[in-house]
Amino acid sequence: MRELMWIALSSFRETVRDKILYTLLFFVLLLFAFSMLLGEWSVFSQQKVVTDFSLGVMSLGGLAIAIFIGVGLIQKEIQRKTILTLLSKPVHRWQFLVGKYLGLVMVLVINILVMTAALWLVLKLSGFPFDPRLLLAAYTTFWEMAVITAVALFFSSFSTPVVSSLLTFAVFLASHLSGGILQYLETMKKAVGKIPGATPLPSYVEWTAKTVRWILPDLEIFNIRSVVVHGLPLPDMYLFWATAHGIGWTVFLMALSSIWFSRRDFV
Amino acid sequence: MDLVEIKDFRKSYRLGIEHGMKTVEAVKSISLSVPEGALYGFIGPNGAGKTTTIKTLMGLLRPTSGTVKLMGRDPLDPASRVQVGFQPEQPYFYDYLTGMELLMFYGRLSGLRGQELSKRIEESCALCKVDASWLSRRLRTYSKGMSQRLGLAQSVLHKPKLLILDEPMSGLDPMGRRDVRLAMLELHKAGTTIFYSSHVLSDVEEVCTHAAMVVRGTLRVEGLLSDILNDPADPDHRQKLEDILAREVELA
Repeated sequence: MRELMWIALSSFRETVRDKILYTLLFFVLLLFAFSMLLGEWSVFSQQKVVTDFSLGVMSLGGLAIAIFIGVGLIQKEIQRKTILTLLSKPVHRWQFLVGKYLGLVMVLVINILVMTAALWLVLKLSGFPFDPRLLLAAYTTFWEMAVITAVALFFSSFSTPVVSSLLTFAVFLASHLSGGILQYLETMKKAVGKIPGATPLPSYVEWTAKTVRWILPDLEIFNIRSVVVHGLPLPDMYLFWATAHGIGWTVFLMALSSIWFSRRDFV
Repeated sequence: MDLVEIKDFRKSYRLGIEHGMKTVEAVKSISLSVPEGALYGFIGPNGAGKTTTIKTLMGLLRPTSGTVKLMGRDPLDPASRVQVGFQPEQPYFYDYLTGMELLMFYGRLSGLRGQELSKRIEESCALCKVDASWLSRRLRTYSKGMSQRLGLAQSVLHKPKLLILDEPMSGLDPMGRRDVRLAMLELHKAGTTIFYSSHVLSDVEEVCTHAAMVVRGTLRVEGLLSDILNDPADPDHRQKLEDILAREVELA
C-alpha cells in the first residue's frame, strides 16, 4: 500500500507543477467572472443565473481537466518512457495505475476547493449570500470529475490520446443526454395515443437509449444544480447513492483499466 | 546460481493497421544465463534485439515463446525485481520533479526509508558523479549526460544484487563514459552482478568477464569473454570483438 501512496504523491507533485492545470483553472475562473455579467444581463433572478452558470462551469472545468490531464497521465509516461524506470521497481502495474489516478484525484480536490472559493467570491461581489447547499453541489461535482477521470484513464490505458479524449467526451455527452432522451421518448409514447396522426418512434431508438443508460455511468446523478439553485429538497439518501455510484464506477473502471494495462507491452 | 536465465526466447510484434498488421520478429532465438558475480556484456548491432531482451527481463514486455527468468522468478512478478537495479536506454524523468525528489521517490519504491535512504542517495550520487548541487534543480533542466548519471544513481540506490543497464554510456562524452565504466567496475568489485548492453566493444573487452553477441534477433556467441576472444586456430592470438562481430554479421 505504501507504493500506492508514493506514486500518488509523486503524480500529485508532477501535476500541480504543470502549467496546463493553471491554464485550465484560469479559464474556469474567467468564466466565473463572466457569470456576474451574465447575471446582470439576464431577465431571470440574478443570483440563480450566477449560481447555475458557475456550477455548470465547474462541471465543464472538471471535464476539461479529465481530458487534458487525465488522458495524458498515462500516455505521457509511455511516450516519454518514464514508465520504464518506474515499472522496473518492485511495483505491480495496477499500483502504478491506481497511484497515478489517486494523485490526480488529490489535484481534483484542490481544484474543487479553489472553484468553490471562487464561487463564494463571485456571489459575495454580486451581493448574494453563499447558500451552504452549494457545498453539496461541489461535492457531487467532485464525484463527477473522479468518474470522468477514471473513464479517461480507462480509454488511455489502451488507445491513443486523441481517441481517448474523443471517447471520454462522447461518454460525458451520452451519459448526460441519455436520461433526457429517454424522458422525451416516454413523452412521445404518451402523445401517440392522445394526438391523432402522431407515429411512435422505432423501438430500436428506445432500446439504444436504454442500453447507453445501462452501460455508461450515470453522470446526471451528480448534477444537483437545479435542486440547489431553486432551493428544492434532495430526496432521502440521495447523496449516499450518488457517492456509492461514484465509488462503484471508479472501482469498476480502475479494475478494467488495470486488466488492460497489465497485458500491455511497453515497447 | 544464475541470476538471469533465458531459454529459447522469441519475441514478435504485430505492427499497426498503417503497416498492414504485419508481424515482425524482434528476437528469433536467444538462450543465455548470467551467473552470479559476472560482469556481462550484451552486444550486437542496432536492431539486433538487445533492448527487447532487456525489456522482457524487466517485465516490460511479454515473451512470445520461451522462458525468461529474473532472480529465479517470472519477470512479471514484482518480487523478481526487489534485488534488481535497472537503467533504461537514455533515461527520461519527470520534468517538474527535482533530482532529489526523484531519488527519494525511486528509493522509497525500492524499499528504502528515512536515514538509510538519505545515506544511500549520498553514496549513489558520489559513485555516479552526480553533483549535489544538481539535486535541487528540476529535471527538465538536466542535460543528457546529467540524466544518464542520475539514471545510474537511481538504479543502484538499494544496493541491488543484479544491475541491468541498457546502453549506459550512450550520449555521454569521453569523461562521462570513463566515470560510468569506473562506477561499474567499483560495483562489480563490491559484488554486484552486472548485465549491460553496449555498442562500445572496446569497453566490453576491457571490463567484462562474460559476453553474448546477438545478430538479427539470434544469439551467435555466448560465454566467458576469455573463451570468446580465444582464437581456436591460434591459441597465442587474441581475437578482437569487433572482428568477431563483423564475421557474425556476415554469416547471419
